[in-house]
Amino acid sequence: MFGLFHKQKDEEALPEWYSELQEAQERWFSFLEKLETKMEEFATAAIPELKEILQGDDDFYKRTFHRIYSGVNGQLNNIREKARDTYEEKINNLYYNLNAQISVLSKHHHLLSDFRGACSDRYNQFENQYNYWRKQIDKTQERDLEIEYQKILDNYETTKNKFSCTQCGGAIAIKKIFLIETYISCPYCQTQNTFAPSSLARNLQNIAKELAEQRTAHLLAEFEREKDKERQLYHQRHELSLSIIHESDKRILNEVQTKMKDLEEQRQFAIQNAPKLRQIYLRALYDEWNKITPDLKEHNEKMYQNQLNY
Amino acid sequence: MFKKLFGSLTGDNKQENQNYEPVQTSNDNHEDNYENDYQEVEYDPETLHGTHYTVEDFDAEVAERAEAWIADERASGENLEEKDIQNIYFNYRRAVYTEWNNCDSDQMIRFEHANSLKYSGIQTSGFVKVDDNNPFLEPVHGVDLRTYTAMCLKISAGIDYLEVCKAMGFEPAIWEELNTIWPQRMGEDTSFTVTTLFGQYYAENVTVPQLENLKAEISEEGAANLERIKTDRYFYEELAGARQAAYEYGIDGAQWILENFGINLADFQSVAMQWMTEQNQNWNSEDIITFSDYQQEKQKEYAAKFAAEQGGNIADDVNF
Repeated sequence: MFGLFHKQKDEEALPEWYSELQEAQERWFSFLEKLETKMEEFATAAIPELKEILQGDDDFYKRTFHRIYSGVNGQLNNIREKARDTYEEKINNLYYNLNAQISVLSKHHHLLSDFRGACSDRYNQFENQYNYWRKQIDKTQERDLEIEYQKILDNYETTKNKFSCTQCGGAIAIKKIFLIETYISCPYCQTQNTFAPSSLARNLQNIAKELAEQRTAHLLAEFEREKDKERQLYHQRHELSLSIIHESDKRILNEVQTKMKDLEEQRQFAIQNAPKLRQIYLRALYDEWNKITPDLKEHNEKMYQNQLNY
Repeated sequence: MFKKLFGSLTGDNKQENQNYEPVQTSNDNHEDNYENDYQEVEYDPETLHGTHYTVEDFDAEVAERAEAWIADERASGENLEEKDIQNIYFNYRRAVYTEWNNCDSDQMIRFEHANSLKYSGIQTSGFVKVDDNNPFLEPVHGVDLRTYTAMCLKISAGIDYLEVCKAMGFEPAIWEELNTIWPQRMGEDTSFTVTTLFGQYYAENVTVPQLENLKAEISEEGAANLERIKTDRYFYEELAGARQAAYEYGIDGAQWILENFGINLADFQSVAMQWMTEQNQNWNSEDIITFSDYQQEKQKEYAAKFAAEQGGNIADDVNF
């Protein structure tokens, strides 16, 4: 059974274990296909439902949404784990088992490595699918915060002149959106009144940062593009350097080296420029945030300084 | 010099706690736990440096090696940033410590935890060192961090915040300010002193006299389970795994623990902090892996249970 001793006889025809590999590979491919179908069916059903739940969830923290969202991700994760466990058990184990018996010098050894390569490529494809659906589900969390912000502003406009002194009944104008309960003195009798903001107004604190992020997302993208350039340019230059290893033509050599030099200059520029773009993004983010919740400006500026140094 | 700079752990606690009842903790004698059976090196209980050399000598050796490396890098045209320099020091600190004390990586990590504030400017839970004049710890409306934590504990145990305010004798507006300013300080403080200290108080389940009479309801079974997760790490890991599994099945895990084991969120988190602190103080990678594996195993068991209750997982019928 171990195939250790009749290895040499088998050198001519395809070895007996090959059919085992073929079968495992076929099963693995069809197993993943079925899992992918399940994943797609499940995600396409869950996504509109999640969006609906988020819309209807009046809770500040969207707890019902998050509970179900977490359950949806749990199922997706369950499928992923099933694939991982099966890969370990059915593919990797088989590979290691046979690999221990078949010499790398055997002319059939490539069948084994091809098997592993094909199965692992297919597995990567499945992982990509998983990541795709995971991302789609993540996106259900996104909501247009401008709409919610507008509701808060409208609510403030309609309520700002409706507060009056508990002592003398004099009208007390609410001069800004308060985020928490606040003492306000009556301008007529100086009595201290406690103003409790509406739940809508309180929620401003929860959405302010995300709203500012939505408004400055393009700057973040710009920074990230610049940051990624360093690696991209490095690889481009590296490939060029490999391409001239056996090159003897001086003219071509010169041409390529000029290009390489240029790429390196671009790379150095990106290294210097990325932190500047980050700072531009952060400044814009905090400016927006401060506009939305001026009361938090003092705190936010400290956070900005911390983040700059980070 | 080092001791004078930061004060000893116990000394600081006394300072902080002097107005209150003594606090019960599960591990009062942290200092005694550092023994390393197979080591002959004797460690200073506070700095965890070997006692056969001085801290000054150690720091000088690290600096000498690090600076030599930095000079070398610069000479070969490398552009070193502050972060790179910190990394170089970090690595030489590890190397010199391991060499001089002939110790394993667990002991080295314990040393890093004990000195994290000195060397990296960040506090580590279980080794918090507090400076008397830290502006981040100034009381807010007369309420210090310890009292604020005690209030948070009551509220996350399920007691209405209005009740808590009443017991403390202040208006809800004050609470709202406290609950804005303390979390803001946690965010602003890059040494994480406020956050780690909050966590430490949370783990100690601190209380203040005003709040003594506010008790969250706890069943007899709940009290027994609570006692058990405090003393039986495996049972704690089981419930932590169960809670995680619950969330993966769309169940509010904290609520599930309350309904099935009678332990509320505050108590559960408090015990979680206790184990985390204990783990930091007595760093042992083998134990950590054992407990983490156990938790995962339990999580799987509970996941299977929840799946069965919900009619199975969606891909259960897919077979290899």
